[in-house]
Amino acid sequence: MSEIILDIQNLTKYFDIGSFGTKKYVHAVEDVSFELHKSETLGIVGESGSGKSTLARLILGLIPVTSGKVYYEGDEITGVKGKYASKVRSDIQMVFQDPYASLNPRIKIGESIAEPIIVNKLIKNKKDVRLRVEELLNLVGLQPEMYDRYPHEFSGGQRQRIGIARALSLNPKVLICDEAVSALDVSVQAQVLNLFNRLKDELNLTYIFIGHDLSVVKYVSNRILVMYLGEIMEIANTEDIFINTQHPYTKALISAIPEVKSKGIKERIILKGDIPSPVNPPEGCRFYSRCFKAQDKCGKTHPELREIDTDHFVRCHFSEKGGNKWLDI
Amino acid sequence: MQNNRTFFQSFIRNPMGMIGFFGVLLIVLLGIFAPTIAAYPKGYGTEILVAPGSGMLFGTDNLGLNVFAEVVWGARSSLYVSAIAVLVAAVIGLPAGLISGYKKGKIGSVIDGLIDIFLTLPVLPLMIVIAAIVGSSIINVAVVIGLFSWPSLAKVTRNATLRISEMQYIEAAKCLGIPSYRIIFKHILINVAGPVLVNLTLIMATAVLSESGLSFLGLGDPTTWSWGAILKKAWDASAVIDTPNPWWWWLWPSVFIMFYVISFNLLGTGINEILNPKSRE
Amino acid sequence: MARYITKRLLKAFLIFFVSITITFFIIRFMPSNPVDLLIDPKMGPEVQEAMMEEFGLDKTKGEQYIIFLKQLLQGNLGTSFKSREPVSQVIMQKLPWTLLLLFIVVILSLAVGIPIGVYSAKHRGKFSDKLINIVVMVGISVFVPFLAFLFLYLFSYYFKLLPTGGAYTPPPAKGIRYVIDVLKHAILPSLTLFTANVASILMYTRNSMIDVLEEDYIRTAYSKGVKENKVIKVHALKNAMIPTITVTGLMMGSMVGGAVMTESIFSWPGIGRLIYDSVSALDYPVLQGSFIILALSVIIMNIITDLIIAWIDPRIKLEG
Repeated sequence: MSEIILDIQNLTKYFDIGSFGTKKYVHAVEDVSFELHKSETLGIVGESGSGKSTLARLILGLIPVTSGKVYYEGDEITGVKGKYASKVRSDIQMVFQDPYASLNPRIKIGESIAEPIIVNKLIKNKKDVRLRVEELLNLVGLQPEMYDRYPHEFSGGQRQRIGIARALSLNPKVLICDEAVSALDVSVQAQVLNLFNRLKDELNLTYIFIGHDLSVVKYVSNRILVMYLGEIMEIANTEDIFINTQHPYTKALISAIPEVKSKGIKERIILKGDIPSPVNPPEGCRFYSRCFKAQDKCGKTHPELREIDTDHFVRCHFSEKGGNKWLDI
Repeated sequence: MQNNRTFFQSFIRNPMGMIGFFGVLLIVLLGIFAPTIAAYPKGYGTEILVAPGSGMLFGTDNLGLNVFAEVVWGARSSLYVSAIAVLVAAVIGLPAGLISGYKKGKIGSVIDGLIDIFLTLPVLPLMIVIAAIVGSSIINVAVVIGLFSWPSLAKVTRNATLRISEMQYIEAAKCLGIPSYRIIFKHILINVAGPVLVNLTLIMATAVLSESGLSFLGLGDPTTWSWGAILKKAWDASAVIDTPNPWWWWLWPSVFIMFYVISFNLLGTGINEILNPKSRE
Repeated sequence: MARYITKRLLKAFLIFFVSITITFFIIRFMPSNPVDLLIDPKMGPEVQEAMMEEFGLDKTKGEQYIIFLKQLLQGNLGTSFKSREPVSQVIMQKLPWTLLLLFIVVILSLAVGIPIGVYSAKHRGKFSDKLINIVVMVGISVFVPFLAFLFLYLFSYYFKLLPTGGAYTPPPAKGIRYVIDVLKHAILPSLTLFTANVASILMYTRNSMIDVLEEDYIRTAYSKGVKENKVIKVHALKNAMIPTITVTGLMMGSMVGGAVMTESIFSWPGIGRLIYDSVSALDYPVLQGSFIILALSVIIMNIITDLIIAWIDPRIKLEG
């Protein structure tokens, strides 16, 4: 595989929600480690509350980590401040979930895209900045004349394109897309996903593509990481995830996709109840309370993330190399 | 409030706001054109305590000066004082509210505590003590009023900022390497402009009440005409309770104070109703 | 509950501490010489020297501040330029009159403002509510001396019903006739302050009552009819009262400001009138002392309103 661009090591985030002496922590992200390779797209899936958005913000340095480290091109970037930090930060950018909330309603869209260029002193000449912004608008499939319009004049899909252009303004190498298409209509989703794929080739980008919908994530991803309650449950190449599914939770997510029913899964696995509270997560396996294959052991012992196959990691007591027959129902 | 045009359109349709707007406009015009409307009242007039009527629109005072001219020139100083007070309040209150709302943590709670303390203090007596010490020039009075008008502005700004800071576009700005001061004073400020504007009109109104109060208590600028100063002169000359009773001497300046305050309050209410349609009756 | 009270007291202490610190530094850091502001130049040189020592005016600002706090703890607010009496003594003679006035005004404003506010909220959008709104708009814009002048003109000058000023007709009568005389003198100042304050109380009651009426369980209670849901309605009223009482506490500051002007006009022998007289006499120690006492009164009133709220709303006690 190609060189490692981002190396995430044991990233952990607890939010302190205790008041007046009582100690209470939300275990948002727990001991997450993975590597991101240059030019790949890593998909991260999980229900809301699984900690995937927090993970993105930790990598970007938008919120401080509780523990763990992030390496970018071999250098540690966790908690770095100052000039170097701003250089690194501009190399890793984010496309946000809500196209309606991620653009400042009082700022012209062209200026939204131009501001990071000016503030980070990428281009000094004002005329050149405008030309660059118009070029970016073109790149994402919008007309350069839209520079002087306000966000409310655009549709959701157009706004998301503006958000992408803005993220690209700093010539990033890594783009983190946090539920970047989930707020859009299905038809628009496809267009924006195609845009992501096109940009990746044209600009040689590396993506972390976060979503709750596996059918969307698989469309763009080379590898997929499945998260549940702040922990990695399974991580493997996209193909392996589908063919050699090892974790019951992954299985459940796959069974929810309509068109893959034929591949060994006869019916949709409906998970019982809701995702448990991350305030005091269960002692054993975090998926225990909702798992359709749960055993006594699962409630008591916390499973470790094990490498089952080459580049295929699973956090389940029962998964084993080679077969996944035990997961059939 | 989608953009400026719809704001303007809904403003025209808002009766309260429009009444307030024209009231404010009238006072501003009076203040600006005071020299062309009436000669500066000074020295002595020929006829003292003339009742309102032909020739003397508002009557004359005990020096024979035209009360109308005094009131018009009073509008000028009232505008001047409240404008400076608002400026001072904005210079302190806006950064205080923005910073404490954006940087939660320790700075936030310290500023928030200060705001609460200043909101509780009996402000007028404090202004009196200070004005008595610093001396009563019109600029001193204006600055003192401004120094004690910022807490309400800071509170309003802080509350609005707390809400805006949670928006995704603020997080996006952080992510794009835009420095905090720029996020605070550009991205957040333009989005809290509405409630801030409403509060500024209210400060304009209360500033005139404070200025008139201080002048009435003898702490205004003795060399300038202000509505409070006219009232003080009338009161000192026992114009309210003695016979003959020149009611016009104290009535007109009072009416103008009330008119000024109500106009600004209506303007603020009008703007607020357009910004928060839910609060409409 | 104990924790809630401790917290409130701590906050009150902090507010008081900050306000006296402000006054201290304002006087010490003004361009004018603090000696001129705190010691009467007309006093003899020995007296002046003794006072310099008492206030520590020859020492550093920090030491002066400590001395100031110590003296304040002992109730020493300096000596009046005008009467040559201790400031604390001067103020203690005047304070009861101001408290009497404020007490009457708060009770009256609540007694009138709350029922009308509730009425207005229940008849929201109707003609009577709109009329009340207009009156409120005028009410919150009122300039206190103007009100005082109007009432004086009407009741004292025109109808000659009430006295123009003072707190009693000298020489003071005895017994019940004294009380009646004082009350008669109190009518106009109270009416003035009441009119200036009732509008805000009315407005806050109306707005919070509207918020409460919008809540689902109250709506259901109202739709079901009157009698069986009386309990809930009482509960609604209780909830609606909380913002009103909070505001009453917060209004004390501006009410005291209005009291300064009202007392000045009606020669009411309270702290407000004392401030007015001290301004013209440039009696700085009395001005500073009056402010400190007024700040203290306002803070105490705030504690009282906080306690009332805790009593009405048990949730607050638990929150601590």
